Amino acid sequence: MWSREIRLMFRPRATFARLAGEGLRTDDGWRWIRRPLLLCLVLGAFVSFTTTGRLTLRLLVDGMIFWSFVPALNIGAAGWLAATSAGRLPFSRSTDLLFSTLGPWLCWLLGVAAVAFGPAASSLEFWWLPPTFLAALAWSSLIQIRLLRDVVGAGWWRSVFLLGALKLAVWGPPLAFFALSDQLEPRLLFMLEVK
Amino acid sequence: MTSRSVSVALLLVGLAAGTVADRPRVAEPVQLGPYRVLEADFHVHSFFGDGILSPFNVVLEARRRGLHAFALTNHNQVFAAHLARWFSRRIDGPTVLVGEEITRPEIHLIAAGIERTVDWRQSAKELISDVHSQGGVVIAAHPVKVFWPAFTDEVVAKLDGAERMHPLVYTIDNERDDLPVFFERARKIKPRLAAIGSSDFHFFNLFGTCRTYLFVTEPGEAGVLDAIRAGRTVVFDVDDEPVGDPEMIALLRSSSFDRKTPTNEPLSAFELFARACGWLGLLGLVVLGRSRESRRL
Repeated sequence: MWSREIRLMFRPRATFARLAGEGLRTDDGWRWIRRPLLLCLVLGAFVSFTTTGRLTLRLLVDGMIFWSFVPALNIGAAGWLAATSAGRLPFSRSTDLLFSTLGPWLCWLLGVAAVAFGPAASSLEFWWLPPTFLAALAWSSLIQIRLLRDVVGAGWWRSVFLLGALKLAVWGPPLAFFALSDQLEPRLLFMLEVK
Repeated sequence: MTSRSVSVALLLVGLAAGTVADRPRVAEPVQLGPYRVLEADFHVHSFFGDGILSPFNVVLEARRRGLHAFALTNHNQVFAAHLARWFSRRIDGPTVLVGEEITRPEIHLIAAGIERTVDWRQSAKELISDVHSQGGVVIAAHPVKVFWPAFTDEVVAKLDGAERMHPLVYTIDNERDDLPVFFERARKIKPRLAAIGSSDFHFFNLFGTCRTYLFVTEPGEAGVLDAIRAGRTVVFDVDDEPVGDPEMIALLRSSSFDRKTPTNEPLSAFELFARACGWLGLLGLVVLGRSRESRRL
């Protein structure tokens, strides 16, 4: 009944063991694109729900296009993971599995979108956004550590190193953009000064 | 019928119903005496900054929310604002002012009506001179207590406006009174200072929640900037009382001007149906597995 993303959130070890049993070397062909497209769809829907509270074609498509850099960066990270797995994971499998670890993010996006149903936004407080964001990041990272340990076969320290590299591949370019366009430094300085 | 088919069907119904419900609010400016009353938002963020919407959809969303003018003000950059202005001119959309939220650690200033990026590394006085030399106006952005030390009397005297209403007044208890206190102080230094209501829209259903009512005598960007420089603005505070130019407030009171707040409109049954279908469909796609894979796992 439950999707692979949900199973991985609650039983990562058992789920990865079953997936490994299916033979990870098999190339899935074009089907690797399904999960990146699902992420794209959820991002577009998130944009639409949080802006108007409903799903509209104009906002869905716009969100899917402008936020497609997120799945694109994850596909890049999956390609790098496939390259470092010494033939254990073909690119299609690597992409499919890496996107399967994003269940906490999908749930977070859906949860925040659901808040847009609630009271008028002007009376909403947003204190809960940063902690839940960090929780999704941590949860997803734990599943990715399991992926690296159980599927890629990396040791503990190598898993941590690979996880860091994956995060850098996905979060590095947007952070670099913000830093280079002068949007990061003044706010970091502000936080340092206030503290 | 599989659970995924039901999810896809719900999603499509939600999308169709949501798209049908997505009608722009008809918003012809009201004529009051010699002035046209425009509704504007001078603090809006978009993609290429930390806003969620693309510059193009910010224009469409502004139109849907009945705004006649807005300034796109990403932090320390103007690229997205140029895109939005270009697009809005193509579709005969709202008046878009190229803007920037000049973000320094100790002060945030809205520059509206500029053409090129203002370098945030300058002092506050230099920043303001730079904006004025480009023909733009400068507005104090969310001047809460933590920013007050940077707003010296000399800086305040050079401002064209100050945010008197901002969504933070609804949510942040310890900063609720800061904006009125700052505005009163600034008005003593500069009596024609424009009262500004802005949404500081990044994401969520906030765009246009706090807005500025501008009394313009000529159309387009020039008219908007002229009204701010002359202080011909009114905002409605948290108690729904008008604040700003006394002459314009009197003009509003003497008319049958009907102010609507789009975000507080109650949801219709159709609207609720559209929202529920779309969200449940998406939820189904994320949490329910394809039957074959679910059986294997």
